[in-house]
Order: sequence, then structure tokens, then C-alpha cells
Amino acid sequence: MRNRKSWFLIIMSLLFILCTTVLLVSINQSYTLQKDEDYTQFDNEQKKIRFISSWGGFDTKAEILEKTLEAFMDKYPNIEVVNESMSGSDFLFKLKKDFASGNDPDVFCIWPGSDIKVLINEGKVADLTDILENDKQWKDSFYSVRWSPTTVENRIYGLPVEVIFEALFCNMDLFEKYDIKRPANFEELKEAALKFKEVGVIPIAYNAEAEGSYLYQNIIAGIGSAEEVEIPIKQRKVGQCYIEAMKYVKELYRIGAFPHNTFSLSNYERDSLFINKKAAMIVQGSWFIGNFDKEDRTVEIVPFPRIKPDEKYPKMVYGLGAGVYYMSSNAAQDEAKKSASITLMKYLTGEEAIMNFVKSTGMISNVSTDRSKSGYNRLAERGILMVNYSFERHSPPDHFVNRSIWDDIIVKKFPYYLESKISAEELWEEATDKHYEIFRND
Amino acid sequence: MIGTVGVIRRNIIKFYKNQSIRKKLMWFLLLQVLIPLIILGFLSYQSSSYIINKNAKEYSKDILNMIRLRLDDYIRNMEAISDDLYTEQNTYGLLYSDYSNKKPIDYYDTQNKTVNLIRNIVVSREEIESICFLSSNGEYYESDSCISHIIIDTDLKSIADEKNGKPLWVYNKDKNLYLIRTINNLENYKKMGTMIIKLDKEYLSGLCSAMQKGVWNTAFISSDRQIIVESTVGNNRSLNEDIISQIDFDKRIKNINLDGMFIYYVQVPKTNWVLLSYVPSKILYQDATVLRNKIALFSLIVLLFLSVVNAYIALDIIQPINKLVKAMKNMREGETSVQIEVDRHDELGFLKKEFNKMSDRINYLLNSVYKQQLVNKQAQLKALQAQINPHFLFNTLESINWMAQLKNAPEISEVVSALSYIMEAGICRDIKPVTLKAEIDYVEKYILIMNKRFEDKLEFRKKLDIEAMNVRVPRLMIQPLIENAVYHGVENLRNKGIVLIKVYKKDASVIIEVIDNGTGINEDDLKELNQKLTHNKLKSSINDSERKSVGMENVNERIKLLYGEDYGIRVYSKENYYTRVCVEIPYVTHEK
Repeated sequence: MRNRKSWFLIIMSLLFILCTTVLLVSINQSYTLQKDEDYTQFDNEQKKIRFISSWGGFDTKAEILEKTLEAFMDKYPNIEVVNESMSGSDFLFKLKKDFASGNDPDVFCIWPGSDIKVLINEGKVADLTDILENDKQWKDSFYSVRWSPTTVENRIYGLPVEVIFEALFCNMDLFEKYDIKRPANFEELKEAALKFKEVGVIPIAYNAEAEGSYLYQNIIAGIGSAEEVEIPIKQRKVGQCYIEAMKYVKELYRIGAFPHNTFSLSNYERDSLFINKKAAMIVQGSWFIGNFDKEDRTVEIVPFPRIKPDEKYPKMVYGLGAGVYYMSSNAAQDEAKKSASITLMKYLTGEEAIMNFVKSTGMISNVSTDRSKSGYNRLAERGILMVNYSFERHSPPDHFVNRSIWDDIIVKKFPYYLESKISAEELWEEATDKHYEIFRND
Repeated sequence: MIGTVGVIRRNIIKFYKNQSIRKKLMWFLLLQVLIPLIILGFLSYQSSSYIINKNAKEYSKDILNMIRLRLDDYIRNMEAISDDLYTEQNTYGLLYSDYSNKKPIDYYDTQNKTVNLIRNIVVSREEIESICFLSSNGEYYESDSCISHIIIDTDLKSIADEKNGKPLWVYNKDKNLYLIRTINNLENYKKMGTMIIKLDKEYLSGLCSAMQKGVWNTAFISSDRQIIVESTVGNNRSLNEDIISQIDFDKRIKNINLDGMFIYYVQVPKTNWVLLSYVPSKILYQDATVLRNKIALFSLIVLLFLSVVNAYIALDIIQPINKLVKAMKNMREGETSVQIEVDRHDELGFLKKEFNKMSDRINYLLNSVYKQQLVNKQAQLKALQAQINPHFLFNTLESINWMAQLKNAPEISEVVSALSYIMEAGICRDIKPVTLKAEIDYVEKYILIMNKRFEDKLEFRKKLDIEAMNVRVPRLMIQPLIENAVYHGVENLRNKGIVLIKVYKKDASVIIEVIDNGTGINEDDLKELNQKLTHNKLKSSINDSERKSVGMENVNERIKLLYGEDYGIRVYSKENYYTRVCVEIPYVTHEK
């Protein structure tokens, strides 16, 4: 009995000590845990990556891009994408300034041409070759024929997603209404322009912005050979097709084919003239298709009319559009950013995102998707056929001229030429000087 | 091992058991108070100091974050200004164009426009002291607040080049703050020049002091561990090089305790600076220290108070026990009739009461035994004293008996034999009770003698219950009562005296009545006699041989001694009529 009593006392004492210890330790631990939180609360921040493209502002792809990025961030909540896309000329200026001022974006989109070439040459763009080689499925999702514009010295830098073409968009209801023939060559174009002018319809929606210059570019492509178009400046001299094409544009200006306020029109106003049936024709890129309803049969696209009377078939301006994805070298040097950037690029080039772009904007995709599910716009389908059946295709000439020269000199001073304040030769001489000033050290 | 534990356990138990109850009680109560007090004190101090510190740190963090937010704005603003200047057409043209082939007036015009722009910014922005552009070919453009020499004289330009166009925030050896950017060509990304903005340090200092509150000091530390700006409260200790050298610039945010200084710091984005909020630990913990001292003081007061209460409670319990122990010791040493004062009604009061009762009972029993022994001794002494005469008389009476028989005098022989029988009973040393039958035999012998003396004047009658004859009674218990009835009752009667002895059983008692028709006792004497018989005062009555009732009292005392106070003699009488002496004894037929 006595023994039992002592054991009971011993067990009770041990229990008391145990409970007290557990209580004190747990309290102490709770304090310690809270202290540790101070150190870690900033460690779980999202990976933030900056994305820039020309699909901002009033661009037809701006809205779907925003939605796609939101869906991406929902799927990958630890990655925040800051979309700094801008439309029009602002985009390129910002992109260049960001790279020049060390504020490189992580993922960006830009069309092929001189600007991306300079960035690649300056080592500002990440080489994606090894990443793609290690992920064959990803690489194979792109049509292989279009790797070349994004490849420099056998290294792939960009992911070609968007294919574009330029063509003449016609408001067929206006053509039918006024019984005007759809133009197949430059003479017919002039005829149609004159007739439309007579009935008070603006023949061609044109302005003095870079996008207005598609008319000029299509004429260049119609006149020049592939070599002439792709090497505009040679031995301080510009190719003849670039000079000659200006004269065709001037001819149209002279007969009143353009709106009366053509020099002060913004891109939006210019596009609106055609969309609102105030203008009969517009030279635009395939991205313009997104403005029209799937069932709209009042608009038709045709290859730009043949310029040279002896040519049997029209030439198509065709190539990769602004939808070519690149990753900056800066992002590639930061493992976290690199991983997040690759994830984003995979998502943007994935079937789901591509389908959304195709369905919403009529974008022609270079990513192999199930065509039956694509829901391509009627105009897009027609454009794809036109491209496939064209005999000669040229990339847009502004891909081969430095974009600053094109925008700041060619585009900006085009009105002076049309108003005969400056000759075509003088204009291109200034451009050539600028070209050599920029690349004087190369 | 188990053996050692067993020995220790036994020693502890032995030590515990050897301690007095007072000590045990004191320790037990003290531990009961101490353990919760220490645990509660510790926990409340721990949690309170934690909350105080946490709040202080949260507060510091808030301040730090507020300053950082304002600093973010400041940095953003300054970088936005540098952005504007970066692509400003005139400045860009100045750095970009080759004016060697152009007209001097064009260069002059562009230069003037750039300097005017710089002047406007410097004048309108209080954060900026000066701006300077430096072209790749060594030409510089600035307003009158000249700083180009600083850039030319130092390696800041090459440091800025490494940033490749990104803004570089520099705290220079000249103790000034600069924002430096390399300006690259937008077309080919080649370097064209450098932009330097000298910033006003006082603005940062003002930013710190405006947000500063409480005991927290703030400071900006540059990436090369120089104090850019420091704002302290009162006489608070400042940062020193040792402390600064231990700060981990790689941590985005951290709190550390260095060299008696509690430091909370955050990285300032884009600058590689660190924004610190710091306070000497002594000041940070002063509230907690005050709290700790208060808890300690409170615990001490509570401890003292409870110790006093404990001591009082312990004494209150121990003192009565000690009194009981002392009383027991006294009893053990022979003191009788020990009594303890009963001043409470709890369990201890009950103990005291019971002790007093026990003491009384022991005392009574002691007295009873002692007195009985005394009475017996006195009786034995008396008997011894009287032994010579009775033996002599007995022998003489035997001689007379033989002589009477030889002389043929049977009456003399009969009387002498009866007297001899009674005397034999009187001098008998055996104190054992005898049966009532034997006692009646003595009475009959006595009556025989008395009949010889009084002849026909005395009549003796008896009415005996056979069932009661076996009861044990003290020897010669009835004879003195008969003697009283004869001598004090019927002796002086002129007519015939009658003595009746009546024995019968009543419930558990036996009643013996001796009735005479003698002179009786008057009322007062009867009352007095009965009182004496009821409150039997042995001491007072033992030596009173003169009294007539001595035989009756003697019998009464012996009955009470033998059977207890409930038994004894009761006398009923009416003067000149009768006297009836009633003896009640228990019906006991065996010897005790």
C-alpha cells in the first residue's frame, strides 16, 4: 500500500513537470515561430516578369492578349506578368528605349527586320536554340519553314507565332452599289478611285502614319525583285523600286484617291473610314481582319493590284508579323526570370492561347493546331488561300529598312513628297545618310 | 542504478518523514504558492515582453515601410526625370549627332536649349542640385551648378557604364549623392554619353526625420557601408562601423540584434542601399524591463503576504496539536485531570473536547480504583487491628460453648454458637461476595441472639424469593441493616417490635427491604439521610463512627463501589410508624 502511494506521488510529480515543460516549450515555440515570420514574409514574393508587344492600346489583339495573360496568371499564381504593350509607333520607341536604358523587358514581341537584328547582334536577345532542342514537342509545334526569319547564324532567337500578309481590303457592298469593278491592276485601281470619288466615296483610306505606308510597301513589292526589296540601300544608294513606287502613290494622291485630310488622320480614324463604309478600299495587314464579323460578307480581300502591266500574277506581301516572341538576355541570366519567361512563352504559344487569338482576331497562326477547331474567319481563310496560291511573296519592305529611318524619315516626310516639297531621291538620300550615321561604327 | 535510485528515494522519504509537521506544512504551502507564482510570473513576463517587443518592431517596420514607400516615390520621380532627359530630343541630338560636319550655329543652338532645360529642372526640383551631360568625346553640358569635374575626376563614369543605361545611385567619396546613367543610342545601343544628376542629401534627411517617431532612429547606408543620412532621437547611440559591417546586404528585410542595438532594415530597391531603423536594445526593452521588475516586486509582495498567511495557518493547525501533545506528555508523566482549553469548534476543537473527556474518564477511573483500594486497605487495617480481640473472643466463646455443653446449659451454647458464627464472618479475610442465602444465614444467627436478649418483645419475619437467593452480595451486607432496625427501630418500643426482611427480583435488579415498626425517622433527618446516601461522600463519612447510620452508610458505600452509582440504599420512613430500608443491587449470580 505504502509503495503504491509513493509511486502515485512520483507519477503525479512527473506528469506535473511534463505538463509544465510542454506548456512552456509550446509558448516559447509559438513566439519563436512568430519571430521567424518576420524574416520570411518578404521571401515569398511573386516572380515578376515584364512583357511588351505592339498588341496594346487600340490594337485588335490588345484585349485578347490581356485576357490571355490574366488566364496565365490564374494558372501560375506565383508569376506576375506586367503587360507594358503599346500600340503604333509608341511600342517600338519604348522597346528601344528600354533596351538602351538597361530596362530590358523579359519577354517581348517584335516583327522581323532590322530592329530585332540589331538587338540580337548587341547580345540583348536570349538564344532559345538549346531550350527548343531540349523540348522537341514545343519546337515541333511551330511550322518549320518559318524558323529562318528568327534564326541568326543557325541559332534560334524568336518563336514565330503570327503570320501576316498585306492585301487590298474592299468594301464589296460599295463596289456593287456603284457598279465598280474590283481592281486587278494599277490602271483599274485608278479607274475605281476616280469613280468612287465621283460618287463621293473615299476611294482609299490612307494616312501619313507607318501603317498608311502599306500602300507604298505593296507597290514596292509589286515592282521590285526579291533582292531589290530585301536590300534597300546598297553602296549609299537606295533601290530603284523604292523610288519608283513613290511615284505610283503620288499618282493616286494626285487623282484624289485619298481622304482630303489624309495627312492629319490617325490610324484609328483611317481604319474607321473603311470599317464604317466611308472608304471603299484600304491596304492593310491580315491583323485588320479582326475588325470584321465572322459572317460579314461585305468585305473582301484581294492581292494588291499588279503594278507592271506585263505581270500576269500579283505578288503578295507576306511574312511573320509582330507575333514573334523573344526573351531578353537579362531575363535569361536570372534563373527565376528565365524559368518564368519560358513558362509564359510556352503558354502564349500553346494551343489554347493560339486558338483564342485566332478566334478573336483572325490571327493566322504559325503554330500547328487543329484547323477544324480554329474557327478561322472567312477573310482569314481566304487570305491563307491567297498566300498559298500566290506565285511570288515578299516580306514587308519596312522589315528591311531601319525602323527609325522608315518611321522618322520615310513615313513622316512622305506628305512633303506628295506635296512636291521634296523629291523622292532627296527623301531617300536623307534616309541613306541617317542609315550610315546609325551604323557608322559597324 | 535502480538500487541507487531506491536508496535516494528511501533517504528522501526518510528525510520527509523526519521533518516536523510544522515544517512540512510550511514547505507545502510555500511550494503551493511559489510554483504557480513562478510559472505565472514567467509566462506573463514572457508574453507581455513579447507583445511589447512585437508591437515595437511592428511599429518600426511600419515606419520603415512608410519611409520606403516615400523613398520609392522619390526614386521613381528621379528616374522619371532621368528618363525624360534620356530621350529629350535636343540632348539626344547633342550626344548623337556629329557636329563636326554641321554649322557651328546649329551646335550652339542645340547646346543652349539643353543647358536651359537643365537649368529649369534644377530650379524647379528641390531634390536636384545639379545636372550634367557628358558626351563620349569628352564634351560636357551643364548649368552653372558645375559638377562635371567630379565625374571627370572619378571612376563613376566607368561604374555607370557597367549598368548599361540603367540608373545608378551612387554615394560618392565626396559625401554627395548622384544618379548616373549611361546614354545609349536607341538604334544601335552603343554608348553616346553619360548623364549625371547630383541629388540633395538634405531632402533624404528631411524624409527620414519627417517619418521618425518614438525611440527609433533611421539611417540610409550605401552599398559601400557609408552612412548617407542618419536621423537620431535625443541622445540615442549612433551607428558605428562595426555594426554597419555586420549588416547582410543580401537580405531584403531582416531584424537583427547587434552590439546591444536592435536593427530592422530593408533594402531600398534599385539603389543597393539599406534603410535602417534601429534602437539600442536597452531602450527597446525598457518597457519590458519595467514590466519584469513590477512582476518581480508584485511576486515578492504576494510571496511575503502568502508566507505570513501560510505561517498563520500552519501555526493555527500546529499549536492545538502541540497543546494536545504536551497534555499527553503531562498525562504520561502522571498528572491527572489534565484539561485543555476548548476555544474552537472545528476538528481540532473536537479533538480537544474528546481529549478532555478522555482525561476526565481516566481520572475518574483512577480515583475509583484508588479509593476502592484505599477503602479495602483501611478495612483490612481495621480488621488486622481487630484480629487479636475477635480471635481471643472467638476462642473464648468456643471455650464457653464447650463449658456450657459440659454444664448442660444448651441456651448458652446456642447463643455462643450463633455469636461465634457471626464473628467468624466478621473476621473473615475473604472479601469475595457471598450468596444472598448465606447472608440470610448470618442474619438468622443474629436474630437468634437478639431473640435471646429481647425474648418475646421482638419478632423477626422473612419473605424471600427463592430465585433471588443465588445472587451475590458483599459479606455482612444485610446484618448491619437488621442491627439498625433492632437498635434504632424497635429497641425503644413498649410493644412488640417486628422486623421484616423481604427479598425479591425486579427486572434486572434484586431488591432487599428491611422494614421495622419502630420509632421511624423524622422528615428532615430522612431527607438528609437520603441525600447523603445518594451523593455518597466517602471521605467525609469514613471517619464518622459516631453516627448512628454508620452501618447503613458503610453498606451503601460498598454497594456503590461494587456495582456503581446506580445502585445503593434508599430509606423510607414515617416517624413513630415504620422505617423501610431498600437495597437495590444488580441481579448477578456469578463472582466478578
